[in-house]
Amino acid sequence: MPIVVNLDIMLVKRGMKSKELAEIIGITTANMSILKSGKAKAVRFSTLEAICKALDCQPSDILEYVED
Amino acid sequence: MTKNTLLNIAIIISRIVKVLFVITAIAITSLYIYVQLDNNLFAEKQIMISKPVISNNYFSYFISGSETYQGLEKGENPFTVSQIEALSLFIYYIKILIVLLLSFIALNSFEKIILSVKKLETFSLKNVKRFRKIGFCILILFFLEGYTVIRFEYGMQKAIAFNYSSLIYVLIIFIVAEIFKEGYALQQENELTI
Repeated sequence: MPIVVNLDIMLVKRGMKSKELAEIIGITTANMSILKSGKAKAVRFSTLEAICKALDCQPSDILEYVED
Repeated sequence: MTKNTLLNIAIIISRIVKVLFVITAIAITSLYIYVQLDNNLFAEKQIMISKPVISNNYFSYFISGSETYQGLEKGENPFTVSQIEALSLFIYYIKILIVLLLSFIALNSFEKIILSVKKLETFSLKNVKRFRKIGFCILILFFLEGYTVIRFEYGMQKAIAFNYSSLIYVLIIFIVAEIFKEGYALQQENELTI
């Protein structure tokens, strides 16, 4: 998929573990790994909102378009 | 959904019918072996392919006929068990076994589908395959049950009895398989939406 999820970079910048983030935004760790691995087919606006709020960032900091 | 009564009843019924299929297969095999060993028991029993009850069905088609060959003594009945050709009897026996086996396979798949519904794994590719398997089994049964020929030493009986309503069932089952495939795709999309 040409949309890359840069959640790992943002997590390192904020010094947060993915498990912590999953707990804050209320998703399972299994879903968190789906999101990080790029297997996800869609992201709900509510999830994106919660991630941005928890990491204090913009959606563009997490999502990136890379041409195939 | 472990306490769903309907599903539990369906599972129990399919298991009972499966056992009945096995018992029937064993009984028919024993009967076949017995007839081979002791020819006298049913020797004079007359055979007549009768018009099946199912022919009252609007969708069915039935032709039956018998013919006798030359060389028969006057007054002798050509259509008795002792006069059946060995190969014809064997083919008929194998046909019944295949019918039972296919019915068993179809019922087994049906039971597995219900078990998966109980486990809340309704929309899976396995169930799509199971539905298709049931469809193919019924399709083969349609052709197998449609044509019957018994050859005797001095005659022959044949019946063509196609019950076309089973083709409609096959169509419905294949459509259900496609619906389940669609359901699987939707479920995948739902699961991969975070």
